[in-house]
Amino acid sequence: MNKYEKWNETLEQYFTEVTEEQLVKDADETGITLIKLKRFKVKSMNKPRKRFF
Amino acid sequence: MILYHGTLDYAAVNIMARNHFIHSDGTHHLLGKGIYLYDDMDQAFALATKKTEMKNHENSPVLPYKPVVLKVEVEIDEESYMNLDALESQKLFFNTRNKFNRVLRDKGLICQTYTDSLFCDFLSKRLNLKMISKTTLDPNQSNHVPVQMMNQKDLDPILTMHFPTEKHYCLKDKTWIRNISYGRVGDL
Repeated sequence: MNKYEKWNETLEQYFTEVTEEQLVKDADETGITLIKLKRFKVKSMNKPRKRFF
Repeated sequence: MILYHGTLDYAAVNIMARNHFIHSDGTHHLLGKGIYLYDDMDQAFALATKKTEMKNHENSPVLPYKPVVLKVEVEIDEESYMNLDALESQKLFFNTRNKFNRVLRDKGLICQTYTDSLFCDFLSKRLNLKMISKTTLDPNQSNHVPVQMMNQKDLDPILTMHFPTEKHYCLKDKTWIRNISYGRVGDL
């Protein structure tokens, strides 16, 4: 196994096993700041409005 | 392998006295944290001269600083050295960067701060790399950059893809250094 194959294997294993917390911590150690993506609920434009009679 | 470090005379004296370098840091460094070296003494001297001119201009010292090149003997273990000019290394770098982005997306994360320099440090930690090297555009000769790469009309208009480059070696582990000596001391 050459060094590129070893490196690929190491990285593949890392990305498969790493948890969210660990990834944030590892990235932060090297100066990369990761933040949680905020998801907003978008109200559907097609939804009929309630009508009051 | 013989490599060269361009610096100022007072910094060179400190390095020689302590027999070690202080790691360069900051996102403007292309390959992450480490000791930046060249395989070409002239390029190291050009950088030293630029640093010296800036320092002399800023501080106007009584005795002007002089540019110095230190000759650094480095013993390399190929297993921990990533040469980003090699095709396999480039494939690994960009594939891993894509993989990193995919994993972030899957986990609902985004990068608030990211540079390729920081990513080099991230890769170094994961793979236990001791040295990374790469040939890059030489910023000291920025007027000789193809127009299509910079979108500035005052650049050399007939250049197509030939432009000045410099090869950086970023040494992350100083235990690879076998010897440091003076390579060249210059006057301004």
